[in-house]
Amino acid sequence: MGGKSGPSNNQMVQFQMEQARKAEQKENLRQARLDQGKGAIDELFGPDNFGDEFFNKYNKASLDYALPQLEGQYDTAKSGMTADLARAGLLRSSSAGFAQGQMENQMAVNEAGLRAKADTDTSALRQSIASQQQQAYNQLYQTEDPTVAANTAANSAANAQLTQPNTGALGDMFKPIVIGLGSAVAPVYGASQANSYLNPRSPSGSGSATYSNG
Amino acid sequence: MCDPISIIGLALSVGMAYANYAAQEDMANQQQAANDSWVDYQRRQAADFQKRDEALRRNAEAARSASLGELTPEKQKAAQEGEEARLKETLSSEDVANLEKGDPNALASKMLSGQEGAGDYAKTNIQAQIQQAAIEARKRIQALAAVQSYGGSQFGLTNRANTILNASGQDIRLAGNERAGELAAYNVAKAVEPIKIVQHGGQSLGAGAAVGAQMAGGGLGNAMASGMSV
Repeated sequence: MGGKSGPSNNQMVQFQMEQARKAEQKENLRQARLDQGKGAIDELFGPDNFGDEFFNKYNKASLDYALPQLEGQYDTAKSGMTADLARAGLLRSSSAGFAQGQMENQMAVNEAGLRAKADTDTSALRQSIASQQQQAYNQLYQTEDPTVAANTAANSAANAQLTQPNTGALGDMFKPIVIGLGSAVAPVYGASQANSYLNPRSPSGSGSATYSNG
Repeated sequence: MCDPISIIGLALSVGMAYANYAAQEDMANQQQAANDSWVDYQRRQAADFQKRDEALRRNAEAARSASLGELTPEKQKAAQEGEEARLKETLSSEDVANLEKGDPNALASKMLSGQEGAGDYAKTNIQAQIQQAAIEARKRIQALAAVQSYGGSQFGLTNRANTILNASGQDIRLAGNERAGELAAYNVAKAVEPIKIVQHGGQSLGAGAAVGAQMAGGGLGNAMASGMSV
């Protein structure tokens, strides 16, 4: 009688230990893939590829579009002002200096506005590239962990839209400086006093100028 | 000498004990077989799951790698420049392009009525200014194309990247969804427990052996008691 042992769960325990070993190996491989994948994304979207040079190029492209419009309008306005001042006989007067100062002021402010807009647009491009990088990270984690929320990619895609710079025509950037009817120095002396002081003296003589602030 | 009842009781006890042992032995064998079968089943399920999961992960990885492959700086730069060139042609009319090139017919068509009779010098000067305006317009259009090619145009840099990432995202989500399903199915398989063998009649065999032992013990006791009596 006897001699035989009872049922053993040794094989079951062995199996579970084997599974634990495999899970650990699998996790090690997964972590290695994550490290490698993250490194590749870091490099792809890093400063070597999407650095200041890339974004400066975009900034320049934006300015190359906007600034010539401004300069064109400036040239046109300046030509008109020069002709108006000449017609009014005020080309070499302090009134001309005042009008020129106004124009240069508008030019500087307008240019600063366009440069600021280009800078903001470049910032939007930076955010867009960063959003693409985030999407790439999300996809890496989704690939290695299917339980990551499935809607992450869709949300990231929605966030990755680049805010477009204003590519329409600039519109009138310079307020008209009307010369020839009143006084260019009206704001300084008072309109009525200046106009009486600078009234036309003869049809062929030098005229007067009126500064209108638009 | 033992009385017959003791002998019968002893035999009954031994027989029942043996039967009980044999039943337990059989049960142990069956349990061992059930355990072995369970391990085989779990091992197969684990191997199948790992195989399917790895195949789906590779699908996702292929989609992910392909999208990153399309987002390399070289490809992005080429795409941006290609889009810039496309936009330059798309945004400016053929008419402007002809004026830029100085096409005489195009330039003549832009002359105002009444200017036909002007002298050659004046006509040439007017047409040169029209051509210069077209050249400057094309430069502006080129600049506009450059800005647009980074983002919002049909195939602009940002739209292209989003299209690529969305496409790979769909493949990854599909693989992820399928992997989650596979995992759920595998978890059900993992929850399957080994068969538990229960010994039917074990108690009655044990009770029979106990009764036999009681009978044998009672008979032996009586025999000893009578042998000791004076």
